[in-house]
Amino acid sequence: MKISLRINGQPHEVAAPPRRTLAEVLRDDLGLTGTKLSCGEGECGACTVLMDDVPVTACLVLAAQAQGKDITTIEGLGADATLSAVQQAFVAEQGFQCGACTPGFVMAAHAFLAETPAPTLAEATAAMSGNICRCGAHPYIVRAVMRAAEMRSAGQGA
Amino acid sequence: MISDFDYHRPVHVAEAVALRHRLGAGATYWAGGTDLLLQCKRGRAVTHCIDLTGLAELARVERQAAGIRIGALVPLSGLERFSAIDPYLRTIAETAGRMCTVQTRTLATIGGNLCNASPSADLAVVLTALGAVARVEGPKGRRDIPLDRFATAPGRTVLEPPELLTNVFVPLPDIPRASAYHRVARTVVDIALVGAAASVELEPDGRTIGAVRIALGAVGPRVLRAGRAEEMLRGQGVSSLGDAELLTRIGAAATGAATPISDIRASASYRGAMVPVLVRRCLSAIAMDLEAQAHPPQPRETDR
Repeated sequence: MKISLRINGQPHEVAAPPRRTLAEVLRDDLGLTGTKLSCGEGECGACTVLMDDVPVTACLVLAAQAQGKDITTIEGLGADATLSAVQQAFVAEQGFQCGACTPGFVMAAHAFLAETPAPTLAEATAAMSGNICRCGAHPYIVRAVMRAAEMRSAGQGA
Repeated sequence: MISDFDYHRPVHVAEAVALRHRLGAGATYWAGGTDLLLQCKRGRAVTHCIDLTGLAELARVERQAAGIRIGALVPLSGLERFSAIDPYLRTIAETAGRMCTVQTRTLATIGGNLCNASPSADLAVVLTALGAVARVEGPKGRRDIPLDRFATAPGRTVLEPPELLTNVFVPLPDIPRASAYHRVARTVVDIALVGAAASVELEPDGRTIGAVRIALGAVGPRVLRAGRAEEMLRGQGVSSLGDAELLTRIGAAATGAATPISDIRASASYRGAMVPVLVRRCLSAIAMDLEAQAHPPQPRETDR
């Protein structure tokens, strides 16, 4: 079937069987491999993207259900020279180790800070609970989210 | 690997029901898909996916005079905001906020959770205690099914294909009432080993206990009501919620309603032993809530 959707602001039309997930279409059909596919069961959050600004696990969404939707992936956030505040904060706080879970964390953090611009530590921790980092960088990741909130409120980076 | 299926996206309930009727048993209603897609990955055969996410009429929440009508497509993330509607619904909000993960709560729906008919489903336990009623639509029209009669066994409900669950009604009578849910689980995001929810309404006099509902999760083939335990409270004074001896007898009666099994998560005896503990926690929380409603904190001099 034909599926029309916007990805990172650009209109796309893809042909895919209805059983195909959004994560598979992004990675395999469109080459947007920044979205990671890890558990494939909605447990680990590595495939988190924004669908109409709402965070979803792309491994559990049929691509057909993304028809007409606005999808934001890690590729849509910032270029090398203009990283988003969240991305800069993850770098500054070393909120990663191997990096496989990082795009999912960064997308979840973006969605969270858009709704909760001045979070408490407990809120930030809870907001990151849907993503799993098997290297064990969670404390650094939560610190990065708090730093990103401060940077955004100070007008540094989007 | 998921086997091929055809995809349909109806925009009206009647259209969805007609599709399901015409396409037969291999056709499946599909909402958030967070359970269904996993089942497909594990070999469940679906020949037709009837995507419900285009049915805007099922995504609404309506506050009505007698209660709240929750569209079957409302996601768990929508339920998380329910405390603002009525403090009694905080139990729904807090329960939804602890289910699965942030980025799956945006997909998973209240209707899907109920139709999945897991006996350990936190939300089903809570909604049963709140006296919720499921509304379903089929070719012959609509019918209302109290939630304690909705699920029949793991994965099974009283729905007769092509019937579709369209919304869930939670009554909010204009009297003092409180609800609570307590559970035992390995981690915050894991499914419940045992769960218990309760709701207590007072008579208009504000002192006598009226309707009581106690629901138990993961101790039977479906969410169970502890009817005998409920009867022991009805008509008593509200202070009896603090009567330790009565609470012990109520806990024992609730345990009598449970038919737990042993599985990888917990033994039957452990599950049975947790029932009175959780029921007592619920009733104690409800007692405190009702007390706070009867005696709202006075603003202190310094707050003025």
